[in-house]
Amino acid sequence: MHTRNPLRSLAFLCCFAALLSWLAGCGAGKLLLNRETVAKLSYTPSSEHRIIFFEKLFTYDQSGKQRETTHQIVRVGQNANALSPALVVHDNTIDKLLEFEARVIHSDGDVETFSSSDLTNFNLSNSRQIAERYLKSAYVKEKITPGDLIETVWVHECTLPQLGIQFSLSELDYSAENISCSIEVRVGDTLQYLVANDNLTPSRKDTLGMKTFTFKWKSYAQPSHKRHELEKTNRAPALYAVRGPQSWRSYGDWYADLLASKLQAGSEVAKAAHDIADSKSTAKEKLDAIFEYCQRNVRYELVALAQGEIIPNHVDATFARKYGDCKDYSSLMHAMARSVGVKTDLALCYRGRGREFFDEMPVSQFNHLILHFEDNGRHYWYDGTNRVGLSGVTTFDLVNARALVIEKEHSRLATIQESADNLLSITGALRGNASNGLSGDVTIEFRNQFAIDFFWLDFQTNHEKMTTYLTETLQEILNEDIIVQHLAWKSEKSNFSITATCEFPNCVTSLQGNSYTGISRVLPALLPREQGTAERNLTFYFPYYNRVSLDLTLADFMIFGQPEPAKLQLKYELPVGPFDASTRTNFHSRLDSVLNSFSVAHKLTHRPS
Amino acid sequence: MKTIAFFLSLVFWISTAHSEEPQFYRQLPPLSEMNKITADKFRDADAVIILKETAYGERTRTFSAWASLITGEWIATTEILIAKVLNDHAVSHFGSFEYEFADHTELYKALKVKAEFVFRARVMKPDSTVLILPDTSISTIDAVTASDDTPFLKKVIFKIPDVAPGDVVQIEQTHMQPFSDYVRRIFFYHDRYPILYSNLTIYVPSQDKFDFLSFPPEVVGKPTLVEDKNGWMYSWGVRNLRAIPVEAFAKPFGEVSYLTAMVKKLHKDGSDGWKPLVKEYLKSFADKRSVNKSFVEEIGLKEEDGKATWDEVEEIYTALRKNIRLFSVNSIYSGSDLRSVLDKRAGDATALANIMLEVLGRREVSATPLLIRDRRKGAYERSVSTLGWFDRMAVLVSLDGGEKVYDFDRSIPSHYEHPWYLHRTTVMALYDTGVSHLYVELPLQLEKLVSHEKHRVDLKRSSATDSVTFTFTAAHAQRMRTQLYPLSGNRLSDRLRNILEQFALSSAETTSVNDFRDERELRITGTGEAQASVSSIDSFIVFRPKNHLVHDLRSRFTQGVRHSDICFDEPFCYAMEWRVNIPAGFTPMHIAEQTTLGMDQGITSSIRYKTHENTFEILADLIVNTEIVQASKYQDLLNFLDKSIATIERDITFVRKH
Repeated sequence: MHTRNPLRSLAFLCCFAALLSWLAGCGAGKLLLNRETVAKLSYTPSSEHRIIFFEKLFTYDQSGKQRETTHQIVRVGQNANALSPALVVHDNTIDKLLEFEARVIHSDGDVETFSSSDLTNFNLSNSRQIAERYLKSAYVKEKITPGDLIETVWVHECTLPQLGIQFSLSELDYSAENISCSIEVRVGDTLQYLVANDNLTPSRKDTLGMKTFTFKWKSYAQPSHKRHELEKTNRAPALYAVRGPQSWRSYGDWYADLLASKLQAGSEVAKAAHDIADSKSTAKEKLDAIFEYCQRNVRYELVALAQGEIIPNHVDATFARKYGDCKDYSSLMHAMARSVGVKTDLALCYRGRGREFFDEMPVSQFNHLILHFEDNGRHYWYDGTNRVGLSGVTTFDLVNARALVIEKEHSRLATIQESADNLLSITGALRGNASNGLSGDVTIEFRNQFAIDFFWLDFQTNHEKMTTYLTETLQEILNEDIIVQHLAWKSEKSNFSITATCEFPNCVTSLQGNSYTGISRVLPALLPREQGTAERNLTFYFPYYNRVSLDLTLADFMIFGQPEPAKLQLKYELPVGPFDASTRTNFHSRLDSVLNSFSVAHKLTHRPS
Repeated sequence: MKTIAFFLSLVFWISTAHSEEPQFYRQLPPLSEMNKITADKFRDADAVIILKETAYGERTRTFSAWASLITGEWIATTEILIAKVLNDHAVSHFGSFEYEFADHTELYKALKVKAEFVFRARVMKPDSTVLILPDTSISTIDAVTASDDTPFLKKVIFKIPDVAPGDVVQIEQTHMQPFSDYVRRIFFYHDRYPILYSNLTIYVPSQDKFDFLSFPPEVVGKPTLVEDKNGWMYSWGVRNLRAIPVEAFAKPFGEVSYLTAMVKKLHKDGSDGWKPLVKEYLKSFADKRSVNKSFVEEIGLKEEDGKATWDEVEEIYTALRKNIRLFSVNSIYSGSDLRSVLDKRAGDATALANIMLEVLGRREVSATPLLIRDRRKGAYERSVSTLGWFDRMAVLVSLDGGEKVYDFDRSIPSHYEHPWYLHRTTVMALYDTGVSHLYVELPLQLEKLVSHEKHRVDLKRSSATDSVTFTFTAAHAQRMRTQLYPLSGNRLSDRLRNILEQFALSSAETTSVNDFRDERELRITGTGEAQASVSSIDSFIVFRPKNHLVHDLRSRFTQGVRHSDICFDEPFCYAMEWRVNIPAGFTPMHIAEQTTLGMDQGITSSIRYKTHENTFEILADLIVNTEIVQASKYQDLLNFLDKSIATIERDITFVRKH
């Protein structure tokens, strides 16, 4: 009788499986590089994790849809133990994941490969945000060790190509080399591009019916210095591009069409608008009333389904739910205003200061939607998102931001102007204390745009948390070491004021019988430190309060030779930026002049009691 | 009997969940009463919970599947919450809802049973209008799915429309789960908001298998008891509970809140309820003999004969930690598949404890599994015999007459040191014969609990550069290690930079950290421009140092009012030192004498100065020789810290030599 040795059969099966696995590792996946190419990659040896190959490809598929392929190889550094074993990719309705392949080439020769069928999907919706966003991950089974290569490729469909192409080297997880970004353009089409923060021109390669522009960076090291506080936030080399003839006007038309069906107000919205606005006489008053209603009745919530990052919910739905995000707020106010005959326009902008905007690149450089209203040549901006804002003006972080006003066939860029009524006023009387500090009552008043954040907080939170927040604010904007003993606040029309009994420690210097102090000793956080030349050349914006009036009385001191109580006084207005090479110099000379007064040390003597 | 019928409708009869007009279990409170609850009266609260109610029921069911009779527990939980929201923060909190649960659809389908959920919500406006959340606004999504879209985890999400400050929100949810063996049966009465009424009702079958324990018993009181033909209904109610706010160095919520726990009844022989629990646990989750010689070698250890020494036990711990990455989340129900842990070189604390037990078993060392609930979560109550208390397994090693607990936690370095959070805690050792509750008290010596801050300052006329070293030890290092453990590359550098630039450097040019996952000390170094202020006045240079450690401690206490006692991890000490070069041609002046500050309870600070030929030294320390500062002393503590900072950061003046 013929018997088979089961162990031998098992050994054969194992060998066969290993062979299959090796073959899979070598040639697996149509998107991965072949092993020889990987082996030939030149890179700088490093003990840190390093991207040794990074490629972005913007192409068309056979049906003409636009795709974005991201391909990277990371060489694992010494700190492999801390590296997450998850290979992660994002998927949403604007950048829809089509394909995924990955491979880990272990330094011992083992290879693990992954495809879309290995991905576990995490829906990112939660109570804070409901959105069709997913994080997908595959898990590496074998231990990742130094020298391993992790290669990942993912392909997304760009479902809204009008948004344009943006690729910043700051997106890279580690320092990188062999970086390229290629964009296919159909013959007959044009490519508008801009390389920010770098001098780079693309190479061009023509194939049948297609031109390919390739931008290459030999390497990119993550910045070693912290961003200077006056430096722009998008400082890394970045590519902005769009295919075909696109202008801000055509971009606006496209966006207006995209939103049109969402803005048709039903009868309930229209009725509410009339109820709110009909008793008002002017267009501005009607709009203010609608703004006030939305501020009070609509809360901020993010529900962004089906390209919802770009497209708002229908205004009827927002009105019924009484919640929404910035797009929903603005669309609702817009629809209500139009229902009562007030002509408003939606406006796209970027919330967050310090980001450079490129007028010449008509691609999406926005993260926020507000409402624009023009009345007798005056421009008003309504930002419903803040819950407790001021009608006609934005929060301060939008001052001087560029906004794309969306008006069919007339969309245009505009600048959101700063309100001349803004002011930070600091007044009070202080006395010296035993430990070289000053103590007393101070009133800090925030006027107009400066007040909006505080109104919102006062509405948002309770007394105890507000006390904590305001104390932290005083530490942040006046003096990190301030000791607040008592604090009260009040909101009045467009002003918010804080009254504090407090101590400023160590702000009086005693030298050989004399006392010295100055504004920079008492309120060091009010203005930035003096900058070196290199830092000055990077100045892009002024993130501090720029309109300030200071009047502090030092009740028991007098300035040498003068009988009345000493005063620390300063008043200034500074531009907030953004600055370019020509406006930067003027800004620094004005700042220097303010800093001179700010830093001066006054020689004080005690007043007779 | 009517009461029980109502109760059963709360937990088991939910088939009408999606009828057109949802029926709420509880009525809305009278508007006139609600209008008395205002933000002015509760000015430190975002919301007031009018009613927090939990209804929990268990039924044993037997049914036929695959030609067998299967018996299991059906567990249903209903949570009812009625709250008056006072500001936008509360609107945001109560206006959005999220509930996550494991999906066993495939299993339920095979067994022809199903889990059921009911979610309802409504809002009462100040004008008495009531808005009911339509079922269409409630979505159940697949939170986590496999690549073939098989769901693992589901999530119910909804946002309640039209909620504003001043409204009353009611949310009711019921979840009925077949075969729920591992449901935690501990119920808390408190919340993060003040509560007017907090109720708990439990229905169990009449076999009378459970006991109920409440803490504190004199406040929660005895339950009211109602019987029907199938079971017993127990009800408790507590009124007017204050909020338990989130505060730095506070006791964990689970330790502060009133609670009721249900445990299986004591055995007739009088042994406590732990024994059967532990027997089953050890059988199912702990006793896996899958560690063999090759396994031992794969984790970098030599397979040796004979009984291991203490040094070798330490080596085993270190080898496991160095070779296997720790997950951030733990469970006592893991670790059985050791092969997969080794393949991935990653696992949770329980998995590593299991491996250590087996490796020590091979080396003839007496090692016992321990279950741990540490001080970060709160103590467990030994009279409440439920494994729901614990979150991971550890190892008790007994050797040469000594005993030591080995815990696998990211906060502990691979060269083992006692974790602060096990000091003065009770852990539970598991034996085949039962359990033993062991009180852990670690030998703390203040001199070993010192964290250092050292500055080497290069002083110029108007600026200073600084070379800073922070050396954290004990609890301070352990907490910091937990934060840094998962970081590498740029994320680690950024975090270090943030720490250094918090108070010490205005701009860090270099940053580095020691091998903190292995070493007991955690040492961060950096160089750059100092945050210390330097100014030149006439013929003087005035230098004001800036310290990190005390500032960092002070920054944890942001609130003006303290509601609970401050419970430090352990006594500790900060030693700070600035060595400042004396600029050429200058000499220090007005050197103050040693200054010592103090408040009661062994909390002191001191500062002194030393002048050398070319350097000037500032030496400061802060000693907190206590673990608890009473809430009533909070303002004293803040004053003390502020004063200490001001004293440490006094001006040092250098004058030009004549």
